Amino acid sequence: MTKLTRRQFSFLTGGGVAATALGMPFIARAASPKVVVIGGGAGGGTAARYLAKDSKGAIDVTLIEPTKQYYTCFFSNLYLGGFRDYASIGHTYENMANEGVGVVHDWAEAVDRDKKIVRLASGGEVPYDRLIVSPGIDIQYDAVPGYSVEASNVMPHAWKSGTQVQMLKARVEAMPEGGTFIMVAPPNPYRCPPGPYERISMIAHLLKEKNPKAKIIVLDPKEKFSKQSLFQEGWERHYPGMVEWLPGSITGPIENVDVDKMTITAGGETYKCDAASIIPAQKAGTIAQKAGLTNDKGWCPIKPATMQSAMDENIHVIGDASVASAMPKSGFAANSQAKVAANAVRGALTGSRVFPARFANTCWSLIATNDGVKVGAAYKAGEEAIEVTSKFISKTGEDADLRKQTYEESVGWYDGISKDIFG
Amino acid sequence: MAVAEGEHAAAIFISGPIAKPEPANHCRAVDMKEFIGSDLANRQHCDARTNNKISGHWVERMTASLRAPVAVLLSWSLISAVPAAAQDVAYGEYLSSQCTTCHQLSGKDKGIPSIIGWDTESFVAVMGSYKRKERENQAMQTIAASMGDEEIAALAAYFATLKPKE
Repeated sequence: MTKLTRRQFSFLTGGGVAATALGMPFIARAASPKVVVIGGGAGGGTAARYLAKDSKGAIDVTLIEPTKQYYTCFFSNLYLGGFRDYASIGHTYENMANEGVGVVHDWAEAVDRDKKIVRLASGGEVPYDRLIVSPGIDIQYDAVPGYSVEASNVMPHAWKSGTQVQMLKARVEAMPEGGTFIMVAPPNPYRCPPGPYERISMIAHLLKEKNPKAKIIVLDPKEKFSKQSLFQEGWERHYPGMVEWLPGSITGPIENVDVDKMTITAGGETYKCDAASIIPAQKAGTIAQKAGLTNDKGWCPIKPATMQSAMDENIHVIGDASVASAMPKSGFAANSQAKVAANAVRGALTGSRVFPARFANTCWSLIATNDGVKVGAAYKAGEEAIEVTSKFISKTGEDADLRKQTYEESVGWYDGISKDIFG
Repeated sequence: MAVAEGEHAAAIFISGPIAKPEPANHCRAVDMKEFIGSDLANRQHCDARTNNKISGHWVERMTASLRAPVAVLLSWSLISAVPAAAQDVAYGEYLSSQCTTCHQLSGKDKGIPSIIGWDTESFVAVMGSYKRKERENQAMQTIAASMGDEEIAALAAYFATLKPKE
């Protein structure tokens, strides 16, 4: 397969974009329709790969992603718990580039929807016939009083993977004996519904081994959470007396976070901690907001059958940034939505067959060694919203063999979806 | 183990890898003739043994009554309703993208079984058994429940065309 970095010369009009290899002549492809994908995570990576693979060269596909080494959010909790090393959740774009995706490592700075051009931070411009926007989330730092980008270096949100997760692990490991870890959990909707509680499980696992008298407090604005009975059963079984979950009705709202004093104040009460993770409210990634694709809540409404933006039919929004109704914001869901969008885009640009939208999701969570649980569903595109057609969840009281098998399945899934996203 | 009898019913034997030693808790290969005498069953059984088309380490958790050995009932009418020539491989390829989030096209099967290169009858039978909740994996039951006969036949036709790659 040709390396399509050559295409960058053909339609990047600005400078500053590194294009290193010239492949085959592009004369024959000059009229190929152009798809630009913003964001190289579970949604964007999948969409770019599938478009390149399925169109067999009939579509020029360019992926814009700032990082050369992408660390997945999913399974970053397993790194926290000591079940994975950091390198194992990192991925590059080399395979995808070899499969025909033109990969541009840059920030998408703006979208000119009238001219159908994406402007890059470096000054370049990338024209598109269809644009797929998959920017993930932005953290709303000011949603938690006292929290900020600077404060996140002390109390990491670690909700976009990368160095924040490494920082969080180091801080938990540096806790004094018998110290206290506090998590401020996010309000709905947010990326990875079971994620905060799997993180609690993994930190409890780490502390049980290294600091067994330590305590964990969860200050949660919600009254209930994903897989709640499964997590609470697991915490009681594996980490008795260590984890205290406090819903907003008990604590009152978070009033302040002070990283100098290492305190968190909620409902008039001040909690002292030795390490903390603050996971604020979220919204669609910045570029979606700049492009005018978001609603008043900060997320991108879509048409379920194609994942087209409700604001612009030439743009599809997939993954966490989209309003996917019944589907959670998860890597699995983004990967699933990407395939629906890719099929629709290819049909629109090349006349290929377009099949009915089908979606699926499964979220695995690890509670302790070999104690995995899962929740999932299959979905269809309704007129207004993505709708559940069938669903499942692990049960409390399952035997150890099944839980081990569920964990092993999750490891197989990680490997599978990583190949599906990154090639 | 009870196996329904009748001229429209056949059974397909599903086992772990034949060539490799298996962990004690995996389903073990047994002689299919104990369960069913039909030609189809024997042919499927031999295919599985000789070609290992239903690849290994994927025999997932099953109800106690279905645990090793396993016979999956297969209705002739289900298969004959969708002749191989009419199966929509292109539709199957699209649908397969739902499978490849977990099941790898390389044939790698650690934690998640490989499903490529199966013969269509086996594929249809196994999906049917998930749909009827005779096999226990909840994720697969949910996916199978979301598919009709046409979808399952198309998927089976597509996956039958694949060979492991890496």
